[in-house]
Amino acid sequence: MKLCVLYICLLANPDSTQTKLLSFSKQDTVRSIKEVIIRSNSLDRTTRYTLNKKEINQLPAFFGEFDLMKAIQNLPGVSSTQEGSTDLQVRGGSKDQNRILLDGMPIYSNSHVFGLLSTINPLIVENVELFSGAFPSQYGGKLSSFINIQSSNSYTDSIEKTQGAFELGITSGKFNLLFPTSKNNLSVQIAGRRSFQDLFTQFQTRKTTEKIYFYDLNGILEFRPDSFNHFKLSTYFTQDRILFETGIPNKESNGLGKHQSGGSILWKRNQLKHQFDLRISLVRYGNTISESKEFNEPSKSYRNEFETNLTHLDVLWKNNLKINDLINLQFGTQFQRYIFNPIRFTGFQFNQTFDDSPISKNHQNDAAVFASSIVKWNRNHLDFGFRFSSLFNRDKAQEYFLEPRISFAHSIEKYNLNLNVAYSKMSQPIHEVSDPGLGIPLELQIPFSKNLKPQEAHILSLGLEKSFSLNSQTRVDLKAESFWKESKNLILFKDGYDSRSLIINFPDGVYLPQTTEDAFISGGYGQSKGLEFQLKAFNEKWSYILNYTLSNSDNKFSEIDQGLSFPAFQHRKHIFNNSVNYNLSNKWSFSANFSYLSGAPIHLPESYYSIGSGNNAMSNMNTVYVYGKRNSFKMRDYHRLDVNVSRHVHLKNKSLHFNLGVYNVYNRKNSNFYYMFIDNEKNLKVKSISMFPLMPSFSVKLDF
Amino acid sequence: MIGIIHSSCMDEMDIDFHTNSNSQLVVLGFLTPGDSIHVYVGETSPLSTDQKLVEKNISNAIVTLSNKFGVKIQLKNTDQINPSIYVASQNDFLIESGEEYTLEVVVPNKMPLLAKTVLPTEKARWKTLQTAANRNGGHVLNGSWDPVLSPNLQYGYSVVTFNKGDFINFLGGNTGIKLLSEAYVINRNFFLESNSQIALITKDKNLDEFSKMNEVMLELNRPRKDEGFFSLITMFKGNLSHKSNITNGIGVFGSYLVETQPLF
Repeated sequence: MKLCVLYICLLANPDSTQTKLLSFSKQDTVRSIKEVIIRSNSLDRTTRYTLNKKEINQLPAFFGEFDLMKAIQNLPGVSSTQEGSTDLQVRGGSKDQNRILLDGMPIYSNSHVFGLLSTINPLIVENVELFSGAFPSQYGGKLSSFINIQSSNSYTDSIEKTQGAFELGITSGKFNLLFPTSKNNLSVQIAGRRSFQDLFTQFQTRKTTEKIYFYDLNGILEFRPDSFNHFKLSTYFTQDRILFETGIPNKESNGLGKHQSGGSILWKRNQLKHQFDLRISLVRYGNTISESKEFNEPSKSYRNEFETNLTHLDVLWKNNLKINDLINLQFGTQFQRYIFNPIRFTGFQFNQTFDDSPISKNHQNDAAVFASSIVKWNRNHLDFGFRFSSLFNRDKAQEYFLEPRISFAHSIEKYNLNLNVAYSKMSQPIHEVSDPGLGIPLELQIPFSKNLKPQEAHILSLGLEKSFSLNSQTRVDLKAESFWKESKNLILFKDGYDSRSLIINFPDGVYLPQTTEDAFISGGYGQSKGLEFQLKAFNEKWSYILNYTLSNSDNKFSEIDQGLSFPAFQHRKHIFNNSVNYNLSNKWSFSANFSYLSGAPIHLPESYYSIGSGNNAMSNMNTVYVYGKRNSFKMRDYHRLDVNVSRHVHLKNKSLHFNLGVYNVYNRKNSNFYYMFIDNEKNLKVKSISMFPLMPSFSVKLDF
Repeated sequence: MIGIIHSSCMDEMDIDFHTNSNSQLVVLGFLTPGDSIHVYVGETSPLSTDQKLVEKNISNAIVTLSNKFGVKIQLKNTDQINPSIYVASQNDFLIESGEEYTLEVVVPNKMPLLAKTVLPTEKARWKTLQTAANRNGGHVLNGSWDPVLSPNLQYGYSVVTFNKGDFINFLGGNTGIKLLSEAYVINRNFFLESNSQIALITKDKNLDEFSKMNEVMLELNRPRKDEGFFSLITMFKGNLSHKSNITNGIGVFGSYLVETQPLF
């Protein structure tokens, strides 16, 4: 009888980050055994968190969807901007300070339907890395985080017939198909998702109908001509559209929309001591607001459409050179070109079409070189390098940034403990501004200029991690990290200005700037500091994850509150996420997630005066609010509990998964936004709008 | 399904809101040649959802206006409807363009309030002015004017329509006005009548900032119960600040000049 033992082994040396495949055989004995998994700590960056497909699917579903962004929001130091949103705030940074990459392609539109769901189809996700500090030198252009999403690798195993999955939920249906590998090592993967709601509204007979739809579509082509070369073409298309239509007395349509399309080509070459990646990606992203009305008399009919869009070309060449067993060099260059069309007005009025760009197109180039050296000796890991960026735009504004990146890790074997310290300097040439006041915010991408300088940040982190076993089955990983982040050149809308001020043809605007820059105050400072803690405990049957962040985030502008610090909009003192997954059997599993966030700062008036009636122009005054310090009030705290039960049916070569979940089990009315007004009886009303009460969901997934 | 769930799941909740801010004295004073002089004196109240909004008027203030030559006049609160409004006639105290005026308000047991304004040197005049019918049964007005130049002072502008004999609302009329290539332009929809007049108002900087803030605040205070979702998307979503040129208080002491003409 032959004993053959085949397993994947991470080397016991904690300094190693490589995975090696070892196989042993022994003559005369053959016996099958259960799967054996061996893990060890990797001495690497602490401020790097990973999620794999299994972990994403273990969280309770939202509307029946296992959502990637909501899974990322559960990681330490990460929160959403508001209830239900997929936007991310990382370590007290604003949501525009994060770069999301899908196979290297920047994703600008990361949410469907006001943040209900993320735009990444979870069926295609293989794994996700989040860097919130200790940034590798290849990453630049954002201050707070890089989220690297890798699509499924079709070459894990050679496949002989089509594989994939179909999933049907209450809001949308999705699929992922992987077509067989040909002799030439070519494979194709297609995935898609579409919502249903607009298909049903065609049968409605109400006076006013809402049509809400979204879709996303991914196409991936992989080609491996030999063992050295790997080519991958990824494409991505997504669109959101919300329309309100009425046919009485005249057909009228008002809508919001956004869209993104893109593609990336990657060439990976892997030789003995030298690997390189060459990637080219092109992405186009746009937001639209539209209104139209049809009259019997055609000359009175009109349509107005406002659009803002951005095109982003990215060329990256990255090399990894192994000098010897102790030293690796990484170096490369990156060129990015951004083309902004900040405001474009099209449509027709009085039988005449128009196409107007009152703020002309702008472009911006970002050329960077980067290099780092990774040195390992004894139980130490040192990664030091830099990124040098040069920025140019059409208005001849130029900026240069030298960004050092250093991280050091040391393993204390006696206590099975890793210590890490890291420093990064980052720069960000594009500002994304959101409306600062009450209501649903719109966002705009604003390129840097001579007066709106690129944002910069220094980030320092200090952390430790420890792993140990509770028993032979259960492992516990602990991570704790403190961070300090200081940023400058932040921008905010001036008082009185909001996104409407930049819609030049907006006729009812009181504050209309002469140029885009006139709508902003710039040169602001931000400071964030905090402590993150993560506990992961898992064995074969269950897993438990606890993430907690205690932090403070302030801003400071010379024009606001006489230059004193005030709470930043993204400040959340406590962020707490708690999730458990339990496999009752190979047929049943259960998961639950509890989240808690301190309420967001909000700017509300403190006092008022009313003049009342009069016999002169003063009677045209209303109640006047008087505001105190910026963001001195806090919205209600946010918390909710979600649960999910899954039934798995395993058939020959197929498996069915039925998921029944409840979002917000105790029906907490978490605030999405506030607004205020005075009613007819002179009572002040402050209202909270919540959008996601207790919601059951159901989905079915077929894997084949 | 998303829309049905979305529209049926949007829930409104009243928020209890209270502040403990200290009250401040409020002064609103506006000067223009020819019109009677009016100054309002009041007090702020802390905001609360538990209490109705009230007017806190001050009827025992001593309000004095003086010019650069030291000539003074005390304003009287003779208005029976609102005793917090103090008035004086220009027969007793002349207001002239280009001149500086100082306002002093003394309320018992409070710090005295002080403010200054300098009237614009001249009024802006129309360079172009056209009206045309719009698609909603009203009129669209397009016009332009050159800014009034002054070495040390900046001015703001607003445009209002009124019927002959009515008060001119110098606290409104700021929408649709832009500075383009060193001239101001306006594009705005109006509902006009045959006896409509148009006023082009030249304001000092303090009055200009206050009137813009007031006009946006009118929008914020508009009841939204029955407004559609699209309106919630496009409502004002910025922040407002109350800039004041009143020492030891809040409010505004400003001045303006008016150029009027009939529209038809």
